[in-house]
Amino acid sequence: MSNTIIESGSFTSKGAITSVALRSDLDWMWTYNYTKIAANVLNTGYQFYWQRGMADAAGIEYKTAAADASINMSVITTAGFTLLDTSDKELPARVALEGITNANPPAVTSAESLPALGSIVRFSSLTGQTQLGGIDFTVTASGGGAFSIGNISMLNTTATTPGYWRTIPFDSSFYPRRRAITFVSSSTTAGRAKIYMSVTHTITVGEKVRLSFPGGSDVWGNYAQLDGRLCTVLATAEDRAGAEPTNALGDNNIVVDIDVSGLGDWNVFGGVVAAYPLSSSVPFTHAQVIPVGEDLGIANASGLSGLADATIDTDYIGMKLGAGADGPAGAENDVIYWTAGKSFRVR
Amino acid sequence: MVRDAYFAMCHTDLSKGLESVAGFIQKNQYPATMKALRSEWGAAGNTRFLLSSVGSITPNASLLDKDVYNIIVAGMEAYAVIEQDGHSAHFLYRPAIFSDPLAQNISVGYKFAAVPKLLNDLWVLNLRCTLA
Repeated sequence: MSNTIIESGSFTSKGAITSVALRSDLDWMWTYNYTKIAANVLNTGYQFYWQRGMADAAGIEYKTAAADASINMSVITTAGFTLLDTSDKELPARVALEGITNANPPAVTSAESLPALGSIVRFSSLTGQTQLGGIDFTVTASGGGAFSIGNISMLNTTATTPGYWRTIPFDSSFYPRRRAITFVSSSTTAGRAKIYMSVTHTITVGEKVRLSFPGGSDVWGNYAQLDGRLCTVLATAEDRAGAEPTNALGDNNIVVDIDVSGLGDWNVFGGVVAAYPLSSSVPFTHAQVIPVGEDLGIANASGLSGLADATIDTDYIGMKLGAGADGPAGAENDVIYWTAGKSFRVR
Repeated sequence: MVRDAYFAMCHTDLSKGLESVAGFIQKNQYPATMKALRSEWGAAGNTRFLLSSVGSITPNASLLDKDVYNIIVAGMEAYAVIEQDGHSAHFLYRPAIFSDPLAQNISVGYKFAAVPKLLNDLWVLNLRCTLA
């Protein structure tokens, strides 16, 4: 039938929620857990079905019985299928938090719910550390009623009592992405600066970036001199040292060709060795790394793409698959085959 | 017409707030309104404001959880768009009679090839604000 588009594929499960990018906005999808079917595993979902109109995370499961391999159908309402459109920038409701510690890394207490490890969160209406408001952070640890934002040190600031956080479901659409600066120090290689950012950066060696420190020396001290400086990224993920942010996921920094050794220590904000401007500086605009171009020679010498600065729209539409014994993405190392389609008409 | 000015591009939500800006001149008060652009809302100082319903908004990005509006102010030749020969924008509409034997389906689509490029990023500023 014309105007019906079918797409198919396979992947090996990592035992976690899996997103499948699809060419067309789909109306139905089947998944088959090839590994579990081949092994005749009992009490496990073999086949899953979703059709437009079902609720988020829902689906129909074809599952083996606990006693034998006979198949029973059942409706699942969690860990099923969720339609995905990463260009949909509608943000989820904000969640109340009980406190943010003044530590390195800061720990955020949130009894109501927790964001997933590696996801991006944004804070608002904080009572103490108002300087964190509006900045996006990667979640670097999550569990036990609290999560960490390990790309910033909040030592010697006023701890927050109530406030809110919300998940930012998707990173910004266009690569390369700008990032908020949280710490600057000298690299172990003389004459270079090490710059930490609040969200996991995806910048590669050879890219040129412009630094932005709005607000002048009242906010940024000596580091205001870096405002407007153009520099080239020479390395990434250099080992942390001293008072730099403590990130359990890895050192989220870039090393650039600017000598900051004459600017003194970064963590002297407010004269109390705070590692970020104090809440007394609010309102101010956070400092940023803004990718603007490419140094072709350095990129080539590093064996990297000379087109890393090209703007790419990373948005896609697709399906998010839940994992586990009763999820279409299966367990770790399961081979999943899938087929999805666009109907001629949905009634 | 107003004097030589920079263009500022922003969201239509800001139309009311712009009128509260000190020294704002509405488009209908220009000496030569016919030369104003369709999307132009007015001018303040050396800046002419162009509005669009797809203007840039960063949701819930202020400390008080408000949407932050990005007002992009660009100088002359700060950016350029290279349109490739034979690949300028096409909007393709195919009536049903050309789509299938029973003339049941209509299709529309578009295609274009263009390269927008920042020529000098120092000549572009982002003024960020929330609604009053």
